[in-house]
Amino acid sequence: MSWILLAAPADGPAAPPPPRAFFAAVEVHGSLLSDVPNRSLATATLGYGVRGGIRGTRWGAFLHVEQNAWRGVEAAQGFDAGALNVGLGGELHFADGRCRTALALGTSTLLFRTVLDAPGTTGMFVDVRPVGLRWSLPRGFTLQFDPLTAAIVAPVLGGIPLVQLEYRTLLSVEWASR
Amino acid sequence: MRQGALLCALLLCAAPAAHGFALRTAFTDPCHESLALYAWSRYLVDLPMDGVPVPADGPWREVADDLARTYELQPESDAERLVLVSLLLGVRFPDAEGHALTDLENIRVVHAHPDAQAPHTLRHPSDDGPDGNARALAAARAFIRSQVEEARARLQRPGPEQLLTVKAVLDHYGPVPVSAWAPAFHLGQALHAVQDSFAHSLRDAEHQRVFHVMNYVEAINGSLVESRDGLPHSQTLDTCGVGNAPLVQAAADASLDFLVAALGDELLEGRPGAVDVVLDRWMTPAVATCTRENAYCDAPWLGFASQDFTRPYLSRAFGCSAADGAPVLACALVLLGLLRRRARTGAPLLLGLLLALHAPGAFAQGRPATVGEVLDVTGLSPRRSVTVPAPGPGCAAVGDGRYAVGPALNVEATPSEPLRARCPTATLEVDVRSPAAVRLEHGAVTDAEGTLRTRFRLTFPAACVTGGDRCAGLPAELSLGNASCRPSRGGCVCVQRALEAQPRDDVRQRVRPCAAEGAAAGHGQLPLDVGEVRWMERWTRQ
Repeated sequence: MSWILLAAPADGPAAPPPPRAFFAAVEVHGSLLSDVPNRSLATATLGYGVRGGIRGTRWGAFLHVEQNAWRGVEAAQGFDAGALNVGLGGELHFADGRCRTALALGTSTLLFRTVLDAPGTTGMFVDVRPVGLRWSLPRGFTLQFDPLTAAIVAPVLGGIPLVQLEYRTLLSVEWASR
Repeated sequence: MRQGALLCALLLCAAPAAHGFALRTAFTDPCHESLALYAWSRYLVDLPMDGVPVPADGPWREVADDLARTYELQPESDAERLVLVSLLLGVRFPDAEGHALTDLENIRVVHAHPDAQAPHTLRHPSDDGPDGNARALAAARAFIRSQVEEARARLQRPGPEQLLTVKAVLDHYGPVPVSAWAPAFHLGQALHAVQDSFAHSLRDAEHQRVFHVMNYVEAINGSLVESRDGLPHSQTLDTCGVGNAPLVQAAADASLDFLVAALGDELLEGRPGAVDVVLDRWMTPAVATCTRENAYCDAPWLGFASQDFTRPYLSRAFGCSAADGAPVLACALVLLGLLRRRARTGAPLLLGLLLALHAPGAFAQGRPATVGEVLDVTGLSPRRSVTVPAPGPGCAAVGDGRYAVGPALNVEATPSEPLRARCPTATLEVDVRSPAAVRLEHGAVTDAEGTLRTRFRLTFPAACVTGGDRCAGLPAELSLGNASCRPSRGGCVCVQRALEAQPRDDVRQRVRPCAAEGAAAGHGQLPLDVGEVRWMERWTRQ
């Protein structure tokens, strides 16, 4: 992970966020591998989401909404609609605003009919982003790159659970009020 | 695209996809499953299933329904659903043993264990020299026999004890415990070995005598010496595409033969030895000594098999090995590049096994047909390419049209880009004329790439000569025209071999009563009156 920190933008640090700034971000994410025991190691997912909230100088709180599409390898011939994940979370900025750590918890709702479950089934969602790198852009925008995050997407918890453990890579663009 | 390529890379790195006829995955054709369904639709589905115990609950029914949707089947009862799912789980089991096919940690053990080669009709590392062929075949036959005996033992138990629980791997869920009917599950495993004997051997021109059995374990560990260990396993023989269609057809015939003998003759009717007769027919080594020096007795599939022999996976994928000291990252980049290319070109043939089985020459072979030509669909008509004529003003530039004649008449045409631009709503019309022999399955549909397809189901009225109520007194096999009939439970099963069939109501005919003076003499007729198929098409601008 050290190379990631070394690669953090030294000459263009994000400006320290002003007190009580509102922010909104759009993001895309993708993942390829999983290591759930006895499961396929290939669990391709991709998706997009929006995140918005309020933050102080270091801490912030946000609402996160995303769609996470899944690609099976046993039988599926394309991406399924996956799940709609909604969560509330908190974030911490450090390294002069160059880095951000975030955690979100919420619900995950199945969006398509699987072999065993109907759409609408709702379970839990956890999103952990250890270190995201941030670059300031003009006009209050910030580009953010999370090289590796972890998400548990579990829209079905009863019967035979449907649980995805995803190691994601994310790219997002954020706008914050001045 | 990148994700798909990477996924494909992972899958192709995994041994399972290349170990015997392919199993259904997102990237490979369902060869084993289709071969099993060939036998299912021609025989199993007609068996009385009243005695099959049906579990009250559990996810087996959902899994069965999903399979039925996938393979366009319509089970008529829960018992039929259970037998279907059990057979398919069984035929997949030797390759996966309940694991995800990209669960490499477990799958590598399943495939690379030296003692696990018999279910795939492959050599054990100790099966050396020309005698290794006979030993490998004997081991495979012993495995098949053991599965038949397992099925028999389960069948003799009370109903609920005929059920077992196996793991079915579902996308996104992983392994899920599913109830299965043990006799069908075990026969499915035996069927796997029968089918793999076609993917893992060199055979004679009739596909019955085995010239040579291949070697997987020593091929992937790099220790294979051909003169001692035999030919390495072949990736190309594992496919069920147009290139080896006759071989796959033979595997389908053997699958049907085996299930009729094992389930019908031995287990249900109590005629011992029927399985051995079938195995003698399909899994007996040739008398001659076949070695590299005589090109394995001039095996007709040697050239095809040689196109892509299995090698150690690192060497195969990277073109380098750890022993070479090649940088792993550089190798990985090469691999990704290769796999991206393979991901594009190796897409599954969505038209499925039927097209593959029935296209020895593919579309491009044979003389072009002319529009309006009356097609003779009796016998195995080769697929022929046909050029769709220019339609109307402004839509003159058309792409190639093609059709395939089998139990179904598949017609498709892909207009050129300029035509699509000018005539985006063009329709393809096909006029098939035949008295009660053809029905429209679906009209023209356009896929995302602009290809128009339509499909007609051809049904072939068939009838044995009347008289008698069973096939008793008939020889074990009787040739009726292009069909082959054999006695079986409750009547006689006639399989029309010259024409490939879609499941259920096409060429397969369960004839009851069968037999009669003509049949008994071995010269009966199986009328195949398909009338005429007349094909025309018209492009219109709408």
